[in-house]
Amino acid sequence: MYVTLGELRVPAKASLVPLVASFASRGAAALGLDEKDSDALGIAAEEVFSHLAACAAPGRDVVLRLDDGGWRAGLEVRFAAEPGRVDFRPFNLTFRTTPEEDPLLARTALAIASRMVDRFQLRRQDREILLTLTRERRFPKGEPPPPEPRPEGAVSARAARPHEIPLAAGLAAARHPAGQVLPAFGSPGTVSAMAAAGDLDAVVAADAAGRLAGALFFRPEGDRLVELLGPFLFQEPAVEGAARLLVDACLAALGRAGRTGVLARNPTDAMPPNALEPLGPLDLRGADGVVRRVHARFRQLDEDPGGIAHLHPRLEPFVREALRRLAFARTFRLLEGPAVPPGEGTAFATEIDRRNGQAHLKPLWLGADARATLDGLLAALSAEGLANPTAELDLGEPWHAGFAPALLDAGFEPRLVVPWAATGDVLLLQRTTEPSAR
Amino acid sequence: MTAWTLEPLVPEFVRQFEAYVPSRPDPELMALYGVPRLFRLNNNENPLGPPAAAQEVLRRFPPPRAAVYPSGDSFYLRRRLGAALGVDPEQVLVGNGANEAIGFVIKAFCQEGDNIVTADRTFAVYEWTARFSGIDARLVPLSDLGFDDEGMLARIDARTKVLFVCNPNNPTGTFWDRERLRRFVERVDGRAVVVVDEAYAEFVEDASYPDGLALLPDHPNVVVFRTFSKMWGLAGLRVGYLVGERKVVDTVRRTCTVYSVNGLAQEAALAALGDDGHVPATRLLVREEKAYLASELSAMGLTVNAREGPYVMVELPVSDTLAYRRLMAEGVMVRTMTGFRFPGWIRVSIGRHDAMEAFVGALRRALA
Repeated sequence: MYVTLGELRVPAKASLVPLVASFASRGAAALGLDEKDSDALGIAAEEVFSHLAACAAPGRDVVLRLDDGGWRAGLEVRFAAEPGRVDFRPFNLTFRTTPEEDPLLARTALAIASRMVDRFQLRRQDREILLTLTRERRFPKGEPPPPEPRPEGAVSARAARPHEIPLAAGLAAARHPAGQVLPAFGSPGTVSAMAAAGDLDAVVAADAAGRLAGALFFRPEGDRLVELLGPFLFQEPAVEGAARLLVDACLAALGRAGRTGVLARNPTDAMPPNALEPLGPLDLRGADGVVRRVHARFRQLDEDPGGIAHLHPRLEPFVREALRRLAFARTFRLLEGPAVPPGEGTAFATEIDRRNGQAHLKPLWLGADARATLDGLLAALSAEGLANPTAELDLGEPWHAGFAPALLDAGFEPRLVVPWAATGDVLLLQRTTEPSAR
Repeated sequence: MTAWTLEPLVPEFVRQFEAYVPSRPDPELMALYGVPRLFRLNNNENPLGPPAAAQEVLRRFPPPRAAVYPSGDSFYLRRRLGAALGVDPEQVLVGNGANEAIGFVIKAFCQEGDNIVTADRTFAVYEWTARFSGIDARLVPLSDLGFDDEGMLARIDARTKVLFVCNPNNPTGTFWDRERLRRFVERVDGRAVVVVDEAYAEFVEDASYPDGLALLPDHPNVVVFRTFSKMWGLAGLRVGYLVGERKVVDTVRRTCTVYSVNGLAQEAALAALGDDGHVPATRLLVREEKAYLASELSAMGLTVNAREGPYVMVELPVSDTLAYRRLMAEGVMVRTMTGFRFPGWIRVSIGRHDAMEAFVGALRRALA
């Protein structure tokens, strides 16, 4: 969750770049980021705004909003971009300005900006482009907490108290592989700040004296889902029934939260059978840098209203089977006619999470150059050490289906369908280039 | 030009609230799931429908009357209710379903900074209406599936304006008996309005079940809710009402929307009250089918909670939302209970025997 600190509305003109850079860096400093991090956000803003002024949105009104997320500063850059009236190509991470005229001056401004921040997100929302640059505050790493004493007597599950959240995160990080915890779990300060900002919460199983048997963490995932981490159990052997208590308490806490479902990308072995439904495998890089194959799970929180799934015929068998297994009723609409419109112009929105070494692609605009654009992006991501990128197709958006041939031909495989993760269900694809530890 | 942004115009408490999405109409659902018929066992409707006299009113309603505004304050219906309940008609306020009455009461008594107190696992509309009105909803965990009187009393403070007690509770079917309800109201001691929601009162046969109206003479801060949607089979017409002391009702009346109850609904409700055979017939059906369900489900090794009210709760070995989808594919619609904060449970409304058999068969296949 963010609190808006300030907003700047300016036309995208090169002469205003210093103003924008100063707004971002000084604002970040005011939010408590140190000099290095504030400067980094300022440089990222400078790169993005220069890019908008030069080629992506010259002269257009741009709104820059600086948000205080407690443990991070977020700079949102927003402007109107009506499909058909805007060339989306400059929003590809690999887009170079003025390459023909002067190759020495060619810059991949967005790629540079993405390197200056912890998280770089670009997305098209309705008739706007939104770029979000996030730089995290640095908190010291904590010492692993001592083993938690075994609970005595009855154990019940409840919402975690503020001081228990960093403690439970530390206990989880000490006992579980990196792929099952957040990198932040090793830093009590970060965890506390995330919890205070509403970006992380937990339920714990504890006895009357507060001795913890385990914890289950959860945090918002997009607008509709909640991601679960755990359940983590803190004793060997584990307190009997603690995992079930945690899952039930968590689901009860989320029951009226207005969220559609919960997603566990990499649940622990303690996750009770049948608590969540299996979705499929993903190759994720853990905080230790090792890529592991994980098996994601999902559970709907409300009664499914049914929906429409727009598909390319090449993906139909996979998607039908995935949704059948989960008993989701859908009306399937297959892409008809040529998948790709004439003319160039393909663009992908790239999200980069440098802390977790993950890159994720979303459709922005489809043209005849989809495959070539994708190849360029994949080469750039690989050069940045971002292996095994994922891509998503929103099955609720008819125009996304046309991206399927380029993705499949470039080596992406359909991995799983996450119900209601966007406008509709989301098909997640992954291109595996790095072997995974299974 | 930068796109217009709605966000600054929306209050924070509305931004944080997600809209409730009701289920689609039956023909849409049947087409989606590819089933030839759908047993709706999710809303606790009366499987017998409205009483015969009300059905006759519906059949004979002259279409031209649809062009004429109804009585703005349900004049005749209030008069009839007053006579039936032994209160002044001015003590009765009729709404477009009891849901609307919940909104009236919260609007009448609560302002920014105030709170309501209710249970965590009960009818959601008390909590929802408070939250999307910017009022804090303090939720007290159930104790042994029942409302926790001590817990609720402990949460009252100077800003508590309304206490909502669902008696019997939807969905657990537990109720406070006469003594417990009276003790609770005495200990509240006028500090807040006590709403006793008796939406399912007519289904309860236990002699110790209280009539909330009996508290009114001694406790003017009590307001009783009742509805025509459950026992009286008029859910589709939306008629509910509240009864309280005159001063309290006059205050609530200031915030109520007049003309919100349509003319057909008012006439059908009037006619329904005159049918003496409807309640025993419904009670008999509910008793018999509840026993059948409890027996069949227990034989399947499932935990069943079947207390008061035309519904039972069933604990499943799989997620309730997955079971819902599998049951829908069999043409049976139940209520998932994650939203009631009972993950892994479903609530099944009591229906006619063919519907109960269909449910039992479908559940067997869904869990196989």
